[in-house]
Amino acid sequence: MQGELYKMFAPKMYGLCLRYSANIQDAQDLLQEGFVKVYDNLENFKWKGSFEGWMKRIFVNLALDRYRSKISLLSIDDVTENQEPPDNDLNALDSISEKEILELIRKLPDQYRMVFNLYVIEGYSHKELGEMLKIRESTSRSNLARAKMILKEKIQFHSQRIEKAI
Amino acid sequence: MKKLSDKMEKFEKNLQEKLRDFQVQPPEEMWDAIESRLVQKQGKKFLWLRIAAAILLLVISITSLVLYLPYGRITEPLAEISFPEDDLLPPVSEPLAAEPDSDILSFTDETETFISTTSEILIAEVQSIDFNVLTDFSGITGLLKINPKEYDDQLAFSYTFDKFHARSSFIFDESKDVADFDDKKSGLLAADLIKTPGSAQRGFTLAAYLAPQQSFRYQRITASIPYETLESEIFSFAAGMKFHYKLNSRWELESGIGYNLIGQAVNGITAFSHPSMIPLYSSKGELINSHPQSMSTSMGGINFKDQSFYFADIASSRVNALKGSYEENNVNLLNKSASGLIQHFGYIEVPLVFRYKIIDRMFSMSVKSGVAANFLYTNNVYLQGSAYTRSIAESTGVSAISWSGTGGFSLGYPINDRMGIVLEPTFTMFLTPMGQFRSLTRETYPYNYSLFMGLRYKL
Repeated sequence: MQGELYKMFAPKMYGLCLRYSANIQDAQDLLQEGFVKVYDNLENFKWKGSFEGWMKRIFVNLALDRYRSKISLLSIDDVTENQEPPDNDLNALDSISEKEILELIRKLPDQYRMVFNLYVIEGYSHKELGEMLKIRESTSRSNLARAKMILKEKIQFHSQRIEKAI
Repeated sequence: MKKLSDKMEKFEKNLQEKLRDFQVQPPEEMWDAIESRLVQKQGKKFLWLRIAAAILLLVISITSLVLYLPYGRITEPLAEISFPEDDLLPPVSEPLAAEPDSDILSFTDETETFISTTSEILIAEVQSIDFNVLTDFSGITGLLKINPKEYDDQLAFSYTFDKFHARSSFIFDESKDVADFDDKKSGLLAADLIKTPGSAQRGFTLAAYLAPQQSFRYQRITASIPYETLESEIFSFAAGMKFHYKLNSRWELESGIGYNLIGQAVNGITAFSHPSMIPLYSSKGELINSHPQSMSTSMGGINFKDQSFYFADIASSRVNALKGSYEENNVNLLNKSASGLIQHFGYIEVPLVFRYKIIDRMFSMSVKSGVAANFLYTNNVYLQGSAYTRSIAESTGVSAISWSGTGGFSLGYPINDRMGIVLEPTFTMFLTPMGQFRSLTRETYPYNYSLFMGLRYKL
């Protein structure tokens, strides 16, 4: 029965783990730890809201814990918020697969990756991010801007490379 | 600038759509790693408990059977047994040794056959929150959607029924739509998992138990005869089936039906064989056929109906011969055949018990407390020989219905998703006297120390 639950949710949760981790090994560790925690805490599920959402929160919180445990090793400079990416072709996104985007996200610095995931994908606000990551709200904004810029540049670079190849 | 901002928003939205539910199949060996961590976590911690519980269950079950086999035997009539002529006993007025000669009596055993049957009981479990109800019956699960509507100020209902093959239960709240029923399978599966161990979900658990117990009684009023020193506790048992209904994550309500054997040993009573050819005379020279003799105990009176015995109290004055007293010289002609009586009372017990879970992990622990109605079902007095036990009478003056209170602990450990071992050290005591006995002023409250051992099954 435990195996069935795993089969049902593992692909989604693994996708999430890959988004929050710097490498495959970290993602697999997070997946393992997350499922153990889910099984341990099944009794605490209150039947309010979706089960999948509850499960995702467990994984996201674990990723946050992991991030916080190594936060002291990081030193990321704030960048100004209005440092928007250049106005290039934003349709580049169509030419890149999810797996390739994941690869690019993984290469982001840890704090950028956390901010990007929590804000863009999970939908938390900068205020919430500030509390979760113990950073200033403005830092969260600037980290996000930088993360998006890096991603976008890389996606465009990737897109251009494909166009040249064609 | 606005154009750029819009584009960025679109970029974000696209990314979100692409990545939010993006799935990647993890390597196959991942599950093995997770499973081994789960097993390690659960198994290591409680393996010793599982082994200890299994050994304890086995030892106590075997002990119970061995100790109780004699009570299942039926002896042949005493009249057919010959007695050695030279085996005379000292006068009754002197204390007698409580050990009858085992060679005097020999009985043929007709051992009762203990038939053990197991029944599978299936119960339709209905989980209901608001208007959508999921039923789970014998592995077929279905969703019954009841749609209440107001119609001319009356509440009307229509319903739809859908079924699928997951053996699970899930509580839907009002807002969920039946149309996305299949999407809820994940939740259903999780619900099934949550059932064991420790769950906030309501549901029934069925348990079968056997409980070895020490049975004795408390006497509220001290009688002139020192019963306390003349009677002693016995080892008995209880067995039955229980249903637990989980009210929430902590509270459970328990009921069921059980057989509870209680009683006591009555010491210092000697039985003499009393062949009909030997007449007995009273001290006044009157011929007495002093049967039926009777005697008093703290658990009721006893009327001895079997005329092949003559009973005497060697420790006190509990035995009365209704038509006179025995002539010592005549008694001396009789052979002592057995000594010691055992009173047994078999009650059909219907409990109502509340349980509160203190520990709700893989290993669970609860405290329990409640009351039970006890219906007197069997009532026997056994004469205890060295190699036999013979039913010779019934106790009198015992109420047909009594109430008891119970309290104790329940320790549980799962064997698999649905089954588990249960050990429950329990104290039970009658709340009402077990009877108002004629000519006896005492009030007697039986009590037991029991160890309920059983298997539970989550339905």
